[in-house]
Amino acid sequence: MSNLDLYLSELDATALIDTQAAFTVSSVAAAPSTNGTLYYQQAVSQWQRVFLLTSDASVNVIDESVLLSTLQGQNVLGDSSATTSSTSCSGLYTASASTAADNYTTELVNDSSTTLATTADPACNLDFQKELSRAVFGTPLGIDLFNNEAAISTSFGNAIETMCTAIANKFTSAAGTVPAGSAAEASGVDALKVCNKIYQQIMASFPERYTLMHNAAAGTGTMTDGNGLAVTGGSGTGCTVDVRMTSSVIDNITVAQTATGGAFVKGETIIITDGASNTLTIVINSIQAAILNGTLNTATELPIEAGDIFNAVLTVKNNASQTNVAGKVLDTIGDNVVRTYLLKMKVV
Amino acid sequence: MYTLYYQQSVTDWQRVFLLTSDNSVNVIDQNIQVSTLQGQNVIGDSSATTSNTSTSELYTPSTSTSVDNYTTELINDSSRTSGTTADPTCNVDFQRELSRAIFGSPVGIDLFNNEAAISASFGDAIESMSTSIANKFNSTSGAVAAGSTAEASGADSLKICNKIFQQILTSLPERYTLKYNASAGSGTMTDGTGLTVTGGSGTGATVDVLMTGSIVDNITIVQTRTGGTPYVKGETITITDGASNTLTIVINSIQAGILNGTLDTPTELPIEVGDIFNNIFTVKNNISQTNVSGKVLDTIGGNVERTYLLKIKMI
Repeated sequence: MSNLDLYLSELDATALIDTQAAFTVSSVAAAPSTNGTLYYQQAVSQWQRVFLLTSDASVNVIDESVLLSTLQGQNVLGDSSATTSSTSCSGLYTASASTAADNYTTELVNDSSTTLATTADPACNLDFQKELSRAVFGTPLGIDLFNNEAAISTSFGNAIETMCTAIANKFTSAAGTVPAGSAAEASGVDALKVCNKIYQQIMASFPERYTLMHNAAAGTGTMTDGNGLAVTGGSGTGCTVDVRMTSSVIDNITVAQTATGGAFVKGETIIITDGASNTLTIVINSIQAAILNGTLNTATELPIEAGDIFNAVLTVKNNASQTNVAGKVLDTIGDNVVRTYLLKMKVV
Repeated sequence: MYTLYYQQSVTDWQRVFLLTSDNSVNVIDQNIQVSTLQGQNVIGDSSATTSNTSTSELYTPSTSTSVDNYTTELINDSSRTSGTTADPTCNVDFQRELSRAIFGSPVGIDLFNNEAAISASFGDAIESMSTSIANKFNSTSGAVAAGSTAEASGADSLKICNKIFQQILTSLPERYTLKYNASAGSGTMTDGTGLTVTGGSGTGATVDVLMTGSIVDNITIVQTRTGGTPYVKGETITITDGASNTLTIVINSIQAGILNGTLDTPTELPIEVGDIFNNIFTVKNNISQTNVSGKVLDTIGGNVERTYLLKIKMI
């Protein structure tokens, strides 16, 4: 028996979906105010390699979240001896002669000079000893009444380095993969929570980093709208994209064909050429490389960029046995010293 | 193009689409008359009736990964790969293209923070379009001459009726004949004229039969029903020759009309179980949808417009 298989165009219909796709998320809470600032700088690649996302290859339309994972990376914070698999903070804390704000040096935690432009008055170290002086003598101007200022200063630096070690040791092993925002992430290791915060904050503040058009710039001539435009440069081949322009303003770039050979790598410069030989160029980030390669469904580095800053609060307390001049233990009488310092970690 | 699958009882389609032959009173008008009845459940969920549209529970992400994934009164969106309801093929396709328009990659769906809401909205769009289909049959239409200006400018239901009529005549014209589905009963039928028709609700009908060996060449009506009640589609009639050889036919609506002599009144088109009717659903992004740069997709020409084939199968 044969049957009909008949197209009835009169039944064709069109509808718009009511819901807009949303990608806006809340910003991560800002750091609380602190009693001073310390500055650290690390190569961006050391942070990029640790924090990863995986989009699920679009095989699930209800799970709502990317998957997060982290790699071992014990040198996200450390001195020059630190490696991805070895924590080293012993040479980290540095009393800096600079009085400048944003006093960053790679693989050092700089404590800027308060006023003297010497290493003798590091701002945070000085703050702590002033408060210790206040607790012991009743005045912050009694530091010189201590007869072991240098030792306290060194001990302050040791405390900072101990806390930096603790930070680095949050990345002693790979973690994940868990959905961002899930109970598994919330109850998981701190590395995953950090990964989620970075993912979220980029989405909240710089969502364009997750797009193919990020950092696209005019090359030769003025690009025009085009579909299936060739992508050259970089290690991948066979890739094509669609481009939407309004005059010289780039409205959108979307992948049409992912790489059919090779693989693009972050940092490479790709060139998009239209039919009239006009070009756009993009120095691609990790996400863009994955978009071009069609590999966002595998673990992909978060698009952390040079200049990004990650902040943590380091809290320094007096020695538990510290007494005041009357022999009273500070912690016992409720007059203990607890000072907080913002550690700004900049990636370059 | 990805496919959605829907299945409905053949009777709910058969009853809607009608033809009328003009009783041979005009040899130059060229056309049958087509007409349609109200039938708002040609597509709908289990609450739909001939006079009531209901599609609210129609779109269904299916766990099946198979093609031809039909379930009665559900529009199945087959699972893409995982055998769960989490990856309905068409729904995923739409969100992939939405992701491409917004992030530049079809693999960025997870970067949305309202996937489930988009997914539900996609289903709502499918159901909305299904409602529009059902509402094409919210009243009777016709009768108008097939292929006439009146039909061409008339309700969509009439155009559909004409297309079904035409396609059956093109591809399966035997459905319009009395010999359709005739099969050997007892012995080997021989040529005969005025052979008795038994079985079914009617009485008094006779037919001529022409055979070549065991092949049925033709069956033609000689005497339409004279008694009983009208033959009804689905009944089995038996034709007996002088040597008691028989043919049997499970008659369709046209054959019942032939035996009853009522083809000059509205008669259901011979739609059958297994027939499939296709249409295209087009789903577009929300008109205010922006990409990450805040550009409205519809404004920059980067809008998402995806088409899906809806296959409607008769059972």
